[in-house]
Amino acid sequence: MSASENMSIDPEEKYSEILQKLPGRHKQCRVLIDFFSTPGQIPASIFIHGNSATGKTLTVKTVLDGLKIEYVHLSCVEFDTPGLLAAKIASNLNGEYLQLSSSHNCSSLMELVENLQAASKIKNDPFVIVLDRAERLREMPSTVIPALLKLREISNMNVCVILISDLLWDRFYHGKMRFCKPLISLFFPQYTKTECLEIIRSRKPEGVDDAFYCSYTSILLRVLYRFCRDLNELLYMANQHFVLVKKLSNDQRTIFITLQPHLKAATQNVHLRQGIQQNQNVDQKAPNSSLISAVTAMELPYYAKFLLMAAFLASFNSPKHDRRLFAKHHGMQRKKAATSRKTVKRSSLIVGPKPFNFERLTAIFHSIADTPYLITTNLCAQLATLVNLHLITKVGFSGLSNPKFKCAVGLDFIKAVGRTVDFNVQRYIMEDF
Amino acid sequence: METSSMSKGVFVYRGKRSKGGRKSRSPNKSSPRKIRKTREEEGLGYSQETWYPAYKCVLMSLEDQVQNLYTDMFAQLLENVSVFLGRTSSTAINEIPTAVVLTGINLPDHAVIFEAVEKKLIDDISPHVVLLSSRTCSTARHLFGQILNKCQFGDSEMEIESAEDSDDIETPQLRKRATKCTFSEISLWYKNQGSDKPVIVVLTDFEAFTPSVVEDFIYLASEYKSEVPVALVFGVATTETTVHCALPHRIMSRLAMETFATKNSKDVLSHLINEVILSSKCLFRIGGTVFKMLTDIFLFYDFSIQSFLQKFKFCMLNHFAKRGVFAVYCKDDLTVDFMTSKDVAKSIVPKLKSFRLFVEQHRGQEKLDLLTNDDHIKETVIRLENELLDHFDYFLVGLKCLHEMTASLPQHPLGRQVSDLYFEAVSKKIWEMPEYLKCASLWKHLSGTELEEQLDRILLILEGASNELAGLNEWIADITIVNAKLKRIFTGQRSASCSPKKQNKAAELSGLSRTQLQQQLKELSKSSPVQNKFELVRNEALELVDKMFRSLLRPPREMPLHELMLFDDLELAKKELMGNSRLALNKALFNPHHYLKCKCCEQKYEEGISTSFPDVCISYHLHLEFMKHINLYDWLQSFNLIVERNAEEEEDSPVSTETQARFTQSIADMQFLGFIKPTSRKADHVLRLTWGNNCA
Repeated sequence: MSASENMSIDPEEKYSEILQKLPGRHKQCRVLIDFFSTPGQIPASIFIHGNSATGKTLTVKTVLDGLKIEYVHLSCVEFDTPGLLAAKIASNLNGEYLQLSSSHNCSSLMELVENLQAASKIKNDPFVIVLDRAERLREMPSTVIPALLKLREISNMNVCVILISDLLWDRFYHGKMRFCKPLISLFFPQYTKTECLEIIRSRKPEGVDDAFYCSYTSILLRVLYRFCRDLNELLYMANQHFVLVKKLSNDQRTIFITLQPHLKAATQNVHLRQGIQQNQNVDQKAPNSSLISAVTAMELPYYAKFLLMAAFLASFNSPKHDRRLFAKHHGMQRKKAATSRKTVKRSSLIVGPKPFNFERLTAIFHSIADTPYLITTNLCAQLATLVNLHLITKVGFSGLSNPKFKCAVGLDFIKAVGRTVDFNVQRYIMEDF
Repeated sequence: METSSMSKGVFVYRGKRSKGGRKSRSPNKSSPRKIRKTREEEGLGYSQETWYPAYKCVLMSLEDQVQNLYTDMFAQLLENVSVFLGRTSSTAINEIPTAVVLTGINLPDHAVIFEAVEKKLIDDISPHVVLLSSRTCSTARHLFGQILNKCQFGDSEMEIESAEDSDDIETPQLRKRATKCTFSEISLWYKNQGSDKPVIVVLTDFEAFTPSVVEDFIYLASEYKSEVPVALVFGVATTETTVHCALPHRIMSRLAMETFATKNSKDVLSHLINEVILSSKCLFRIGGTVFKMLTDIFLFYDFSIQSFLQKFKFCMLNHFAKRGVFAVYCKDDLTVDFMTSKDVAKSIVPKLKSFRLFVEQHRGQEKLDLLTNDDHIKETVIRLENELLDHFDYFLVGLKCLHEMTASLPQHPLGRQVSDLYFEAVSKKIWEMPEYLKCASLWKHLSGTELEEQLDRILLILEGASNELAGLNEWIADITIVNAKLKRIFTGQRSASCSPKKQNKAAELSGLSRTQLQQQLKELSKSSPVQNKFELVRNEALELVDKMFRSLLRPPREMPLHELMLFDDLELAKKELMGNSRLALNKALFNPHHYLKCKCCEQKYEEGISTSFPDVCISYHLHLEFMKHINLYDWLQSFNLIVERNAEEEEDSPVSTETQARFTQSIADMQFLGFIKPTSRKADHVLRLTWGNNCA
């Protein structure tokens, strides 16, 4: 009763503290507060969705903490079987309600329900189960999601299940859940630019002048917000680049001039998390050189390069062209073939690599790489290495007798590889680009 | 211990291991690498041989040098990684610090790198360093289990596994080894152990990990960041884009990555060759052709330093096993002195081709002595071997000097590396090669400063080696004199500006008509160019250097007894180190004696098919005679003819069931080996799949 009295005295003031902690999420916060502020009538289940870095988990946790409601927060990635999930919930529940030191072996949802029933007899305070990354529940038996959603009905306890996910509810739906839907679905939209700015400013490093940080962040966001709206990424960028301007005076122009080359590079590799030292190197190079530098950085042995190219040719050319491409005396090509080639042309590079067998690979390898030896064990080991590095992938479970492979690298990459050994791969592809 | 039979035919022996024995084993000994090494050394059965201690000594010194080399090479990388992880794990940031170590695609070498990384991180940052490979981490929970085990019990997996086998009771704590666990158990353990050092997880082969496992791990690690500080090290063999491709953005945003690259493996190899293999410290000398083969395997096939070293060691062992005591002979070693003269005379030495040639050079009494007098033979052998060893050291110094002179030439006629020179120079007179002559002609175009620099560098090399090799001193003296002359010219030239003579000529030419000018120029071209002072000195210097190379680079391969010191058996090395599975298969089928070494099949190829061949070999031989389609009935008849050759020959006798069974078995084998396959067109025919001349 005391709680409701408090609320009637000054509801806004009490919750303003919570709201303050969550800039940009006031609307969602209010909704949640409405649900949980009257302990007797909390909803049985809530589904929260929205992109990553939109404050879903943070909001739920802050609200529940602020309202002093008992809850357990767990991630479905870690507790990925119903047993583990139940055990974790039960151990928290027992700690709070039954004052048992350890959960007495709760290993299934049924036992969890029994535990909840026992708890409800002792006291009927609200208890909230927050399940993060709820999309993982779909990988559990199909009964788990319905059971969790109807936990209140089954256990007769004042319990609420909050599912948090990146996906829409539609993605959770399957046949067995026809009459089973979370009561409330709450969407968390992306932060707007001003909200981002506000949040980044609230994470200001200590001992930095307010006005200076303000102008720094507004410059940063003006450039980067067009390329990236992810709050985490923007925060990371703000931290990374702050080192560069730390010692400057508060002058928009100088800050911008110092930051400009770095930000330009940063627009190229947002989300790559490459650290700032490398950014400086990148902007000195020509724009197209990144792939070539990747090839040279990888430094494959000579025959491995040919093996890779042979694999590429084998998976993008149809076997019927092999004779024409690789045999020495292939004879004239018939006209009919030339016209029918057009249909092949469009498909192969778009459709993707086709599987080929080991024999064909070695045949092509020998015709393009001038080796004095036949296939040696060293070469076979090299093929295994390439498969291990995911440059060539093994297809299916054909076992030892007749393994099949696919080439997993793209045309640009293979062209760069070919250039390093003076081999024009394009000449051998029955395609025009 | 009793033997119990599970199901019929399988007997389970429970391992018997004394308690004391296991405990006495020190933890560092249990690392699998070391066990393998000792097994290699002991299992060869050579340990009783006289040369074995010396061989082992050479091997140890080689391994020590390689280890030092590795330590030097990785020092910078390790320092960078450790500084990065130390910095980021001490300051509170939102992301998980992640060091991406680009290791190069030479997979066998990664173990060495990560061993060093682990050691460095344990020393510098935190005791909780966990090395994980993808084989043991098929699911996220296996991965957590591995982390927990390694943090709790250290790296003593072997001991605990053996504990499970044995019957005696261990402490319950050791007994409980979770292969699977959840992250909260790790966090619980971390809370109990008390220190606040980060847990560093090293994923040694990032490419082979299932991305979803790594994803889950990173997600949870960042969720638990406040409770368990985690730092990551990814070993990436290709490029860092692999990480970007494997992990989705949601996960990437939880990492703060920095990339570190190891040295280019080609550089590592040339470093290894220059510092270890072609140094006077290495007591095993490898011949040019075999050495070239080893480097070719490295460059063309695998880029793996480890396998290069393994092959090198293999050559070493072979050489020592073949040549015995003489191979490891060195100046301070007394093993040969202990041998009686008779042993020396009877041993392989007199049979060597180079020794026989040496004997042929002598006449009269000397020749007779060399053939019959045991004491004299022994003395000569020791003298020759000493000479050879001395010369080899000079040879290496000469090679370095030559490399200094040739490395910077355009188009590199003699190659870029010292090893390129070695391949040729060790067996041939390098100064007679056209490439050398080309170099020599290029040297004539060197400018004064270049020449001066090169002479300085050569002097540096010679002086560095002259402490041990007294014979170098005269060359040093000569080169110093020439160098000084060169320097004097330069200081003189700089003071006097352009020569007045040339200016006059230019002035003369400018005032002439066209025909006169033509005349003048013709005359000028006819008169031989007057050599100035610098050119004279340059020629002198080049002649001197050339003379030095001719003396230092006398090919060791042409000296007597070189077989004892140089391992140059290319055939053997090729056979053993360049495995060719198909060739081996064909060889085995065509001539089973090659592998079986049985008496019955001992014959030449020409004699055709023998009855004593294994069935599959007979079938193979027969199938070579058929065309594309093979009629099974014909095949069976010919098979029967050969198998029953010794039996009395009766026309139209039915094939015995035993022969039929043998034939069917051999056909099945042939099909399994991929020589034939059944066709759907004709039921009693098979299709032949291989063509061409068989390689015998």
